[in-house]
Amino acid sequence: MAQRAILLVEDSPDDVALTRRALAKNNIQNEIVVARDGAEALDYLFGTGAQAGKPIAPEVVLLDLKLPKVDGLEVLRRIRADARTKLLPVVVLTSSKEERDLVGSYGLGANSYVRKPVDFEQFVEAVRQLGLYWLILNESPPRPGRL
Amino acid sequence: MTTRAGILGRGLFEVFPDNPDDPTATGTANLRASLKRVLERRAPDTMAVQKYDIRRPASEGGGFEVRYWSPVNSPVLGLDGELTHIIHRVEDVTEFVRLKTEQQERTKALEGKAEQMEAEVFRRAQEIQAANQELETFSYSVSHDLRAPLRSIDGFSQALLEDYADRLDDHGRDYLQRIREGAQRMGRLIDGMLALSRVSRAALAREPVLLSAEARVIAAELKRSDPAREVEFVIAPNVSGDGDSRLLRIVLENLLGNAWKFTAKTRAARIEFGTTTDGARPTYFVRDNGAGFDMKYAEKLFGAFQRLHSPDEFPGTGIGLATVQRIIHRHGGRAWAEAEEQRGATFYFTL
Repeated sequence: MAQRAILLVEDSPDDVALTRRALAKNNIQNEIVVARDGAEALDYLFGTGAQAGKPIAPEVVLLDLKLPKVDGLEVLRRIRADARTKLLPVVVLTSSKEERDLVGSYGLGANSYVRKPVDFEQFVEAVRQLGLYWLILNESPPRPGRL
Repeated sequence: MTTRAGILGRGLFEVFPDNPDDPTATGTANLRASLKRVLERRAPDTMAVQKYDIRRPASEGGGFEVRYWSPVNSPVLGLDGELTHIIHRVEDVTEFVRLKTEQQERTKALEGKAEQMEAEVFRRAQEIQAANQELETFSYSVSHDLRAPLRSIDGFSQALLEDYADRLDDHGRDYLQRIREGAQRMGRLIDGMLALSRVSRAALAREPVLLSAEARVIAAELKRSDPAREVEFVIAPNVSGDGDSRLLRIVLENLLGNAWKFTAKTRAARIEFGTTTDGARPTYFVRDNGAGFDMKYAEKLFGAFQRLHSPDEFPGTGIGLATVQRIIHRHGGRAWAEAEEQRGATFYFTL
């Protein structure tokens, strides 16, 4: 079974580098597709804009909330609103612990909400657990339109 | 001044004419009308309170003096039932009217003031709401924007430690470690500040809270966090209080967490929670037999960022107690502490 990509939606290049590093340290081999803002994320998922005709179907989406152009919650809303991506596992991975972000994210159908710790070792451990759960333990939803 | 002798035998309207300087004088007209009614009905007629100015003697400045009267005109009937006399009885109610007018003016003034104050209160309430809104936005920004660079500092320092370990000597590794610890400490400070500001922003919901149950749950969590430690928890049963359950939980988490922290070096550590019946209001307390502190510094205890121990001795941000105090104050209560160095500390609060 071909391994599917992880879509990482993150505007901070530092956080992208650190997340890649954390995934690598945990031997997670899936391809990591990086979208630097909400609009790019939607392009990847729906095959629009710069990604015209080449949508991706990731295993899981790691979604930051504060993004330029189209913000995280809006991306989540669009993912859940479209039949092609309605079932896609989305893990909100963000700095904020503000109640409105938690309520907003779960309310819009996020599967999980993880707050990025400052301590990098803790972050690596969090990514390890996320990887273990979403890529190995969790049964992926069926891809739409496939048997 | 009109004297009795001077008016006997003279006509009523001759002796008591209207004030010529007052074009609105109604005294004589109203009196005539009343007398006419008495004549026609052969029944007493009470006049409404009448303004009738009286002459002031030249020795007192002359002119007319404002007076108010309450007149009653009553008929005197003869044996044959015909009207023979009318008795015009008058009472001076000037003082009464004056007091009444004064009272009305005072009431009006007070009402005016009340309106002003209401407008002021409304304005202030709006200001506060605007300020809270700003604070909310600010906290939200802080939550995101300040922590992100800290992650970078910590993360890349760790990357250096790992990937360049062979090219770093002990000093180099030490410096990077300190950089990491600095970033993590700042992260904790930010979290503490956010928690403190969240307390002020949150709406207060009052309901009976089972404090004993909360305390037991927190004690169990503390024990789980460090199973190696032997700490005796004595939690009084059935203690409850009226307040916001989430905020009170934060109070207990902070106080019990502190007790846990400061008994880390105590051999037979004992942490108590209960109430003392000390007057009308129940006083709740959390007591430990740990490091304690010098009462000399008790004032500084609840100040934000104030610490009485160095981070080496006991870790902490110094915000916990400020948060506790803010929550207690929001509940209209009081928080204070008593302690002895090396013997322990007791933190009291009322709700």
